[in-house]
Amino acid sequence: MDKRKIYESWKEKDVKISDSFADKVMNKVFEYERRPRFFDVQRIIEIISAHSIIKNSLIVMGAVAGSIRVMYMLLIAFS
Amino acid sequence: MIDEQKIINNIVNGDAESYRLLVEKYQNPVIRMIRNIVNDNHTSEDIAQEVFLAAYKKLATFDNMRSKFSTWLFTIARNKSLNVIKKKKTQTVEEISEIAEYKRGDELEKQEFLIELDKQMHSLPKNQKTVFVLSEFEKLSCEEIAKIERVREGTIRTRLHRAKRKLAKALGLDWEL
Repeated sequence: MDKRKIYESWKEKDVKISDSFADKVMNKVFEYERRPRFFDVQRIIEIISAHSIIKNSLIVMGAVAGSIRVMYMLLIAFS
Repeated sequence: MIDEQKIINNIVNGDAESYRLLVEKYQNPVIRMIRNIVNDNHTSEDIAQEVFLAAYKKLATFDNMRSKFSTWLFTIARNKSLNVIKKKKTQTVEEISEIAEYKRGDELEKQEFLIELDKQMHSLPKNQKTVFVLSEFEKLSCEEIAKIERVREGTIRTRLHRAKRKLAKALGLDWEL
């Protein structure tokens, strides 16, 4: 028994895939596409996390809004 | 040869049916990879379906300047597989029933060796097994695996070397894998 040969054949082993695999995936894709898209939170999060400019802009906007709020509170407190 | 980027652009622009081309191209390597990591024939197709659906949902975020589509897809498959392993915790090596058919002599020895190979591969630490599967079965380069695993290439080489050494030792081989 040539173990080296068996090892090489083991690495080349193929998997059995059901004929309908691609159809099943595509059914899921079409099902996903048919969902109402008024407010797709997942897609929004994915788009935000994939673009550093959007991510950074949101952080800056948050920081600016926070600063304005702190200043407003201080203004009220000391007036 | 299909132009993947063109297909991806079509899909992002609303042609969902084009996704079938990518599914058909990558179904074999993705399912094989999942099967090799999760060690479960029955669930690997279900996990692969989730992988392809997740990839479809995220397709708009795919950036071909950062990686190849296959690397990106394998990253999703790798993460899903490791999540499944975490959930399963107790793994069992595939039952011998698949080869229950009685084999004689060399054939029996060969089957026993194949079972042992599977068993030893699945007993590797998770990070070594993933690298071993991606390198030996999917023939990915260390550079590509490093992108998937998000570690340096040197780390990948070390993990691969350790995995091979462990396997060779466990299988009592007198040659390097």
